[in-house]
Amino acid sequence: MVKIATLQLSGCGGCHIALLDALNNLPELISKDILEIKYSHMLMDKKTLSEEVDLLIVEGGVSTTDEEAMLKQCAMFARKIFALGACAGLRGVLTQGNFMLKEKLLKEYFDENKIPGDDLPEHFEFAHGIDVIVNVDYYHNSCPPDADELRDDIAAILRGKEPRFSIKSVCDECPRKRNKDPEKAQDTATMKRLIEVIPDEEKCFVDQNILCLGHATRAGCNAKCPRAGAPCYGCFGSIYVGDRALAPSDLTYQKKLAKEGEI
Amino acid sequence: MADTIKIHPLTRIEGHAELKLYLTGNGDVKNAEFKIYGPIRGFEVFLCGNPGEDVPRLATRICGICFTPHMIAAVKAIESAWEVEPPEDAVKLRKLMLLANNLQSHALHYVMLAAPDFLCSPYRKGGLADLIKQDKELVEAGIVLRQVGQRITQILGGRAIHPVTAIPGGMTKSLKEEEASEIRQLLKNAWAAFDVVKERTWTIIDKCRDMAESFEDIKSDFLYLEQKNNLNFYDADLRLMDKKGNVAAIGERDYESRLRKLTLDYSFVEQSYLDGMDPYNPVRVGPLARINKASWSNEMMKDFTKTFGRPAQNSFAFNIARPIEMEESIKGMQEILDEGIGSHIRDIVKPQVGTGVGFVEAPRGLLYHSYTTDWNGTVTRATIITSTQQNQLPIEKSAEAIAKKYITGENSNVREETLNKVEMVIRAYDPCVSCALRIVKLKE
Repeated sequence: MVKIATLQLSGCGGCHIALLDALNNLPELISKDILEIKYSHMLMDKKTLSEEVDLLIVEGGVSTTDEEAMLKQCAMFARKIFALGACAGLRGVLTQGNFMLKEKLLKEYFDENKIPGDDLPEHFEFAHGIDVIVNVDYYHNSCPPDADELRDDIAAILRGKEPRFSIKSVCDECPRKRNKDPEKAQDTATMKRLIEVIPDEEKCFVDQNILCLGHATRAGCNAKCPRAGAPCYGCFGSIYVGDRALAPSDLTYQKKLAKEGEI
Repeated sequence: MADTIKIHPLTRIEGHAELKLYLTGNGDVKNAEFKIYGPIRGFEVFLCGNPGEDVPRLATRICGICFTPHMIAAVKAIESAWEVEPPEDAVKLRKLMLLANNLQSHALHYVMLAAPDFLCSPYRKGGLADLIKQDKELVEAGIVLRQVGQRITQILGGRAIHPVTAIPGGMTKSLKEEEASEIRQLLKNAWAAFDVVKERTWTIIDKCRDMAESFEDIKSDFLYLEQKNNLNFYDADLRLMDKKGNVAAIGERDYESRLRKLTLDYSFVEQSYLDGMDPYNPVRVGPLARINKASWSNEMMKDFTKTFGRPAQNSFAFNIARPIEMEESIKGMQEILDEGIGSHIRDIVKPQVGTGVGFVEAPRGLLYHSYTTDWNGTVTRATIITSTQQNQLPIEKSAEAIAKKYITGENSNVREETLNKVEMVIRAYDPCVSCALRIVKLKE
């Protein structure tokens, strides 16, 4: 029997939803004693993790002292740690809040002199990925995690294998047709906003002068957004490697890839 | 004897919150503090500076359960700032998405988070795992209902979580004929699964009545979008109902100008209230607010009214309002599909200086987004009021009421099962901490 625990930190809860989407056979797994959930504050009533688990699945980054303590406490009992989603692995949307100093952020939030709380946890200057605090064994850098990809990943991890990370770009999975004619390469000066045009459904966004991050973004989502008429905005993180590191989280991830000889 | 009892963290809710109970000298409960200590992520601050058309898909990240309402409320607010009317077909797609999300969220809460309290005995702290061992059929039905909601969101929104298709001026993806027939098939599956859920509701309604009768809950006003014959989460009128059941209309702009905030020193969440009302006067939002004046013809409504009266005030009635709304959601989606959805889904729009407001009903209650944009459509001010932010004080007062009943000096050996009874009333509101951590950034 495999024992798992899940922990939510600075996240939106969406990774837990993706986990439920991925584990659609959960009743089967639990009733046949294949899987046991030891701790998950969203699904059960245990207040802390206090026994050993095979896998700790962490959603969200770390932005308060309280979250750091929770993460450390849970990590003590975890044989392996799985950083699920862009916030835990890459800081995700939390990065946007990091562009502003904590002081300013809190002052924007609360009237001066009225910032609540001696009894409340303190915010860090910046939100971090969880690998700044604990050693992470597996990553799934995506927002939101794709249920099918996640199911495969978890199955691989539970079989003792490394989950696969696509090192292709979203363009590789995108069905939109690229304009191969170099003469007609896009002109950045005439870039258009999506509200200004109704793009052709079958042609590449970039060829239609609409900004799309597909070429720079890691694949694995099956190009869901371009298929739905919206350009890619990079939620699976960068495919750039080498000296193009964006965050400490990326470095660890790259080292892993290098070790596996993928880059 | 300890002078406080802490329930830390509250479980089977989204995000991290705590309930702190202060005791008198002889061990009775004096008062309660509902403390939300989750992290501030700064959405209102960093949404500023983004182009208006990017806001809907960034705003989805506020919540991983009710992403669709955040997307739609944001796009409505931007459209209102730019004085744009989306095409009718786009509105139908948005309504369909809101109902699909409501089905998903309610199925998650009702079956997976709340039902273990009513169907599993003795209390074993296992939550969903306990329920699977007790009643696998129900959990499987809940999973089907969730999957239906998620799949419809994926078809219409591009992704099952954090959809991307709403844009000022309409939607980026139309509904193709084969997709419409897939949704029809999904709704058939949903009806079959819902029968299982409905059957259990007769048991759960009895348990909720027993709990409701065991203590004196708060009485509150209710704020909601008016529900007539159909579930309408998108463009219904804003209403305020007082404790006696008298209903008054509030204009959308009126709400905005009357918005005030109360900073509590023990919680990161600021309570919002309306000018002219006592900030400590509880005003609740959510399924209970919507159902009280709704005229849906639903089999379970009769039992609901018989059990909890109208207007229903006890928080445990929230639990029964959810399956009723689930049924209405499936019905509503079917009706929109039967009306037919055309392919004119988008118009080109031009940004302008303005302030816009967008109201929708989220699964947990009224959701309000407001943005000011400059000439180029860049956001310069953002305000988001979520349902849990409005429900914060009512949750605290309800928890205080039930704790006073179950935790007394005579019964000083407080067991976990008793504390779970206090949590049950909090859980009935289905609080969502990630949503709640918003500021009330008032208009200068």
